[in-house]
Amino acid sequence: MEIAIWTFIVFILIALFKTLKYENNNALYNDDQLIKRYFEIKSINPDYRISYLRDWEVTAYNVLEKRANSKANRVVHLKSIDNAK
Amino acid sequence: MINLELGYFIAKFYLAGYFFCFLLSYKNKQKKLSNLIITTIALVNCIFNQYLKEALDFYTFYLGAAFQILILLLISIVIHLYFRIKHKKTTLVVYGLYLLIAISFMVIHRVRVVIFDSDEHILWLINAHSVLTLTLYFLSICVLAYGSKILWKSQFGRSSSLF
Repeated sequence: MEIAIWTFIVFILIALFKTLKYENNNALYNDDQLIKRYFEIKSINPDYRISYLRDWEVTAYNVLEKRANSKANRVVHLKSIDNAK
Repeated sequence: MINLELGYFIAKFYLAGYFFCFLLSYKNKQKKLSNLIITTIALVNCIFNQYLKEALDFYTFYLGAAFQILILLLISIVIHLYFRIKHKKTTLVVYGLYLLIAISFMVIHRVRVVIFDSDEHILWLINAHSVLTLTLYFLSICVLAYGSKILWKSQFGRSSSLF
């Protein structure tokens, strides 16, 4: 009986440390800190999210345009036919 | 063991303290659920303790007390995990105090039952141990009251503008 309770003490200590580690690593428990961090960033730069999206949009637009230009450039120009025209 | 009347008085005093902590933590349950859980389990434990101590005899008295405290800790850990509530620092301090109490119970059981097999020679030790556990319980009540304290601004922020 006595040994069982000593093992139970050790078991509870292990369970406690495991739960604390789980709480530190799991993102679900860090909601408050994430929201705090988000509001900090917002207070520094209120346009943070939107500017990020706008940059992404501009880069995507540039990439598409480049691709279209490159496709247009791939057309083979034959000088003799152009001159004939 | 200390005088029974004094012991009963201290037990009542501590019950009132736990109940006061329970009311405080119930007041701000949105912010501090962790303290509410540990105080409710400790309060239930206090009341259940009075029935349990009559069922235990010389050989199982301290074992039962230690086992009860450990069960308390296990239930609170399971509830924290089930409802996904993060442990507060004050709750962890209370866990540490209760673990100290449980280990001291086990040590006293060892000395009383296995080594001496009587209370006559080690009454001083049992007295000292009861004083130690009572102080630890008192410290745990203080920590719970500190952890579940009501902030003036969050509770009475609007009415304070009237004065």
